[in-house]
Amino acid sequence: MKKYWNIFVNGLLKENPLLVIMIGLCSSLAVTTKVTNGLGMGLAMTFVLLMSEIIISIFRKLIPDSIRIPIFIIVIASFTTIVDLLMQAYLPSLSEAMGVFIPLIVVNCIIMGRVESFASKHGPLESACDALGMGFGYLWVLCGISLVRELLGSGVFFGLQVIPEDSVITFFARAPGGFFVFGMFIAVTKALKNVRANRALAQKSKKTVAQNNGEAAK
Amino acid sequence: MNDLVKIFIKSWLVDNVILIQFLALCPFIGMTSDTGKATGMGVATSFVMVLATAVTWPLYHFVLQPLGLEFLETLVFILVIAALVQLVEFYLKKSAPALYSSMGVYLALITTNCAILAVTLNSISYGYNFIESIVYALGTACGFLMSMVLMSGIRARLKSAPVPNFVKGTPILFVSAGLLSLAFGGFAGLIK
Amino acid sequence: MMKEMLKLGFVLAAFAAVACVALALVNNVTAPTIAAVKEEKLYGGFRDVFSDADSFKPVADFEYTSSSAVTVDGIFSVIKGDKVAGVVVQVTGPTYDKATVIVGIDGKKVISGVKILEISDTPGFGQRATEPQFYTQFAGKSATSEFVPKVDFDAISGASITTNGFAAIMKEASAAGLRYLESIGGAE
Repeated sequence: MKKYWNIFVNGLLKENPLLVIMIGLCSSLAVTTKVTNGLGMGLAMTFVLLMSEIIISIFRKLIPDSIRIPIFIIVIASFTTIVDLLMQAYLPSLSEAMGVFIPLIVVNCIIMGRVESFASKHGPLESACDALGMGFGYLWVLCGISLVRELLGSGVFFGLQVIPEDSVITFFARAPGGFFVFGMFIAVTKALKNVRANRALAQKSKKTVAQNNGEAAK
Repeated sequence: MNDLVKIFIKSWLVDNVILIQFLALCPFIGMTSDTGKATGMGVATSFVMVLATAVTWPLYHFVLQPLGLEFLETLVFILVIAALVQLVEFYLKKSAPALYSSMGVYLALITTNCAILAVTLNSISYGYNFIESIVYALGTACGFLMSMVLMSGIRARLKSAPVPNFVKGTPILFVSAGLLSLAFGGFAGLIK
Repeated sequence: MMKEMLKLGFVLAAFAAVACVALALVNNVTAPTIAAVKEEKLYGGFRDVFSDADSFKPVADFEYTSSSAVTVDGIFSVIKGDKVAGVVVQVTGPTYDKATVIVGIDGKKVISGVKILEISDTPGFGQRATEPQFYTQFAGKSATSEFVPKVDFDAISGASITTNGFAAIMKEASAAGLRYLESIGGAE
């Protein structure tokens, strides 16, 4: 049980696809102008990732190695198209807001990457956990960036106009702002990692000192 | 002719594929560490981009649409792109082995370049005819190459710049990209 | 060697076939809903510009080439009772980014209403065209107006590109609509 949990949590933080591995960036910046878009994209991508990882994991023994890439593409493209059609039918305004980025889910490096490196080598249950972890890791970063950009760029926070429209910094709603906010997210992630690494290092050296002292005392 | 020039300038500058449309960010961050790599990647991607548009446009209009198979668009287009990249790989391996080995795995990754798929899909959804689609692909390719080379130049400067520790590495890249994007925003009024 | 290639080809084809079947299924299920959504999107806004119409019909055999950067997406005749009571013209024109607008013109060559279907300009600037005080001002104006910003209609403050874009949109839509009404000998 713990094994599945670990696989799941891995994608959320330690190997977060956007902030740590830094793949799948394209769709993440363009749709993060509003939280609803970020959420929609995250969920759509997670669905495609989940279904693709499960199917490819189930059939992994039947996929010849030399043609695995085209087969991966077929599976991922199919689920992307399914999501695209479902959104066009039942969530038309969201589908319109995200435009070409929904079919672009098929070239999201995260999906191709996880399918190649994880699903093709693990069982379906583990692959599902990996997919959910990576998917939600992607989702929360997307929502985070959208939150900041929407708040600063159009003054809206969870649907409420918190900052009056005349005082917003439009920079954040446009392309440059996306780059900037994402850069800051990565900077903060790196800083946090450094803090954790330093702390771990400090603990380790304390232990070594204690051990040495213990030995010296003998 | 006027329309074609407009489409070209729009896709090259006003709607720059990387800096304004946020596409193809992976190679933008991953392959701009030196100008040689950036140019090589830029040219290879541009080639595939235009070729892919030339193949997918007729495929959609003469095969998928008449047969009512528009829903297979995403699947068919990405498979075509993958096949074209394979062909380019074969060709490069034979005729320019040095370039082939220097690009390594990034050559295969051109398949997952969002910009190429986006250009092929947009050519259909914008309702462009064949010539317009090719011009659109060419403009986008120029914009891509230019942004890649620009970024590699900036990165070379950044190596010797006094960057605060907090943003050293990838974060400052993104901030620089943001500034570049801001500059390109100035092209917005160019095409009415 | 040949046998190996055949086997690979077969596996690939099998995956592709299953994928196509699955997609065709989903497509069949969703196609009617998607068509309905598109229809609603198309005509849903039309009543907002021509409130007492019974129905709308796309005009098929009317040639009109726009003389500006604004493209005429479609011309629809407004049916009231069994007569043509006016016309709705849908145009797409460049603003800061671009906008798709429908303009209704009645038989007296007066604008019956304007509705913005899509606009992707900067929030706080050009996007303010979606504020009612901007787009409702066109209703009641003559379709033969020159639509000069600040003279014939109020501009959007701080968004001159968008305002000029709308001027061109109104001019082209009116020109197209009037030309159509002329071609059918006027309307009631």
